Amino acid sequence: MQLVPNLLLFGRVLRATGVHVHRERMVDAIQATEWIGLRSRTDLRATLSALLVHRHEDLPLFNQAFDLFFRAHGSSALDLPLFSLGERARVVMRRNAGAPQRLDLESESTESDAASAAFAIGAYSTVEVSRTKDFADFTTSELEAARRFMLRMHWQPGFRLMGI
Amino acid sequence: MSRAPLAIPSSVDALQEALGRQQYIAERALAVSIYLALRLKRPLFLEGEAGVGKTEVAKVLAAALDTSLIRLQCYEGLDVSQAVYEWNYPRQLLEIRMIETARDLDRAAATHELFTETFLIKRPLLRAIEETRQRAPVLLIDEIDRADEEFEGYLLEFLSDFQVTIPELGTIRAAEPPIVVITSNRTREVHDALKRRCVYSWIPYPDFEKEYRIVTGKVPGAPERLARQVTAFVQDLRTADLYKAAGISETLDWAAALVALDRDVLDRHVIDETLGILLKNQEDIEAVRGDRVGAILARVLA
Repeated sequence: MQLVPNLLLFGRVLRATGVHVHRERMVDAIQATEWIGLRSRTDLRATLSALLVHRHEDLPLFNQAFDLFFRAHGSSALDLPLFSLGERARVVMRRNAGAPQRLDLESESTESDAASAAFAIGAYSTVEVSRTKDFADFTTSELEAARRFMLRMHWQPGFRLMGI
Repeated sequence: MSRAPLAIPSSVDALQEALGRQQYIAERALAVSIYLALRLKRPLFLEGEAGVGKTEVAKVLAAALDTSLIRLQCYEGLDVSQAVYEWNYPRQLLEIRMIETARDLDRAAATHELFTETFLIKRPLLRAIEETRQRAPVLLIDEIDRADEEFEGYLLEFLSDFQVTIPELGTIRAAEPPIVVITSNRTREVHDALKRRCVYSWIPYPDFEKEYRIVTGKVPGAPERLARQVTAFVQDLRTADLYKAAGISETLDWAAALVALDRDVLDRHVIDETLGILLKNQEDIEAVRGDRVGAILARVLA
């Protein structure tokens, strides 16, 4: 059964499009699909949106992702990248004949592991971590650091459009 | 006096039927959310415009599960003394007077006597926890967006362990988690940390078919043609840019009023006269009355 990996993958797609999926809700979603079953697409959609989405603004994004991810086999749209979801080019869809659909986040594929590890070591600094880490996951001290950093910024939002 | 434990419907279909028996028409997506909240024992977070029937969900759920409903209405400045518990200060003072007149005051004993359950005023959250000893109640935390963010913080803690600590009495724990329904009208964004703990459901305004079924179900005296026209009119009116759109309860009030007025069709005159039932904002009424009512009515009757 490919369901669990596919659900996890779907969670990643959602995260990649900017929906903040909570880890525990992902676990709930896997449990819930067992109860709800896979016979009804409406029910699966309702199940996943109830557990993985918690913002009204994210619902259209979720629906698009759901439609693309859980679609009928042989659909001509299968090889389209997920640009419509606001996804950047690092998400690549591969279609292997007969194998289940796979969606690899390039940064996590094996061939780039070594490179990314080296990059991580070379680029390490607390500020660098802040750059890629989601604000919601910040610890108090990291938030403090971010605030201090923001104080150092010479930023005048009111004048942004002056040059145009 | 312990009652039978709470029986959760065995499937989404069973739940939808149970809600239907309470005259509540739940869309499939909402029914799935409620079902999951019950089975996962997580709070249900309902968001949507005012008047789409969010509060109603908690009420019919309590009725469908045959359990009690405990409601905490949120407002600005809501604090722990109004939400959880408070000592009955006047009564304690009175008790002190009585002890004083009866005998010499023994400080230690008096303190002990004054901080017992007799002098405790239990507010909704504490009551919800206590009642789980008999049968888990439905705890409705209504319009959380009206409460302050500090209260949200407290709620987050409350929802994670369902216990209340009263320094003088000790810690009171829920035997099982109550069924929690939280609603928000989105007047402000509720913190993600709270929402992420919940099963989330957005309730939109009902479409024509659903609202028509609600009208015929709740206002049985309404002739079919009137019910159709009323529903179509409200649906059209909601697309207008108004300060406050008409909710389902306004549709029902309006339909009931028209039935009471012995109307079986809509006309411009009666709409103008009864518009105040549908719209609660004077500027909205002024904006719609007259030509715009005529235009909507023309589309409805077309």
